[in-house]
Amino acid sequence: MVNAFYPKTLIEALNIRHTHDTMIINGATDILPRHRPWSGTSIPYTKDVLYLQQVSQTNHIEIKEDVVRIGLGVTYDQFLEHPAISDCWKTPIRQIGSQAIRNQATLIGNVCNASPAGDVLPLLYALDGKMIIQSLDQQRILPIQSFILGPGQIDLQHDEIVTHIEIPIHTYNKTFYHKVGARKANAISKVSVFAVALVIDDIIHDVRISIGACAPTVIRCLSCEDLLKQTSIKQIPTIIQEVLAEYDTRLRPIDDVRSTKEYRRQVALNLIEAFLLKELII
Amino acid sequence: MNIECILNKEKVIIQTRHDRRLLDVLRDDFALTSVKEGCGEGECGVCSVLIDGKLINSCLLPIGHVHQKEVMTLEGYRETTRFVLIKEAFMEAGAVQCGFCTPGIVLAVEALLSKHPNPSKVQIIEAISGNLCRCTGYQMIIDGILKTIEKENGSW
Repeated sequence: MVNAFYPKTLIEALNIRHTHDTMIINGATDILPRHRPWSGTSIPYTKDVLYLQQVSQTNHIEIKEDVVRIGLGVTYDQFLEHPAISDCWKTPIRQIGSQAIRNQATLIGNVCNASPAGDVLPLLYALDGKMIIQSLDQQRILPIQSFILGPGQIDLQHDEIVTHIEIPIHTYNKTFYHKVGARKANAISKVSVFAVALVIDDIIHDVRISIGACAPTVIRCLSCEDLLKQTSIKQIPTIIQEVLAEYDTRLRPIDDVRSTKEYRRQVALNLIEAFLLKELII
Repeated sequence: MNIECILNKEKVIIQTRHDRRLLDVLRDDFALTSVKEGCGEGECGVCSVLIDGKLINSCLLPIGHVHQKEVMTLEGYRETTRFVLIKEAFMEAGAVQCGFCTPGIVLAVEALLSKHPNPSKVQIIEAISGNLCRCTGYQMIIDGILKTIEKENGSW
């Protein structure tokens, strides 16, 4: 049987990370299906486990002026119940799993799984989310796109713990999220698109579009966004084919049990088009 | 390891290995067989329990997660007056056929009504969306929940 650690403080947890090679267990909703035991048998962990749910100092959400800090123990349900978080941020989270999953699973757990279809990721890529990473001797702050290296791969050393996600607060007056799954609840995304924009007097001042489940990592194309910025929404119909063609070069979808590469590609482009033509031009 | 928790209103100390699921401990150590294993991966909801009043899939919970928490299974919940209301409403609506999903659905209804005593139909559907039923097609369960709300008379 592997060893288990139940630290009560972050410093205790960091000390354990420093001295042992451990797998971190947070909400556990994804780790258990991946280490699924047969009924009545023990969970087949392959290395020592560090359970963090008793570390109470990092299980809340703080809002400081222009940034939201989400602690490592914060569940989807806590996030959805927080009165100061905007509905635009809550929309993707509300569609994850079922109520029971949302009561237990954490945002940071979803990010650290680094699934190409992770449903917290498009939001973080679009809003320039940052990961706060702590070890005994130092703190690192990484933008989400540097933290996620590929499917299941993250920039986290054996002695480190992600303690917070920080999301800067900006104002957007256009928001869009669409997740395509086999059913509404408990579905893993086939494709998802999260997008926001700030449009004043018909001019696009800011626009951010992220696409989930269409490449090894979430895609955000800054050059495509630059094509749209500072243009009038009236210009969108004339430049949209150029924008979509540019997005098309970034998409790297795969065939798998949930969907096909061609379906994902076409639906992703359709969703971007729907955001630009239906959400922005109203 | 020793895990202290409140199980169905009684304080218990569970001596066990850390690498077991709450589901297995409830069934094998406490014979609480209303909690069942269906999919074993959080899709079907037949292993549902309430932890501190919130609906949780016990197949996804390492046993250490319940330390100093309050766990309620249907065996504890059926002693409450709220359960009687749900039971009668479900019987009237024909909301129970084979019964396999019923313990999980009943606890999902408790979790819903304790948060929203007068839920909309969308809230009802969302609240049971993690509990699969292969008999009723859900409409009779939704009718049973609506009947519970009609009868509830301030119970939640």
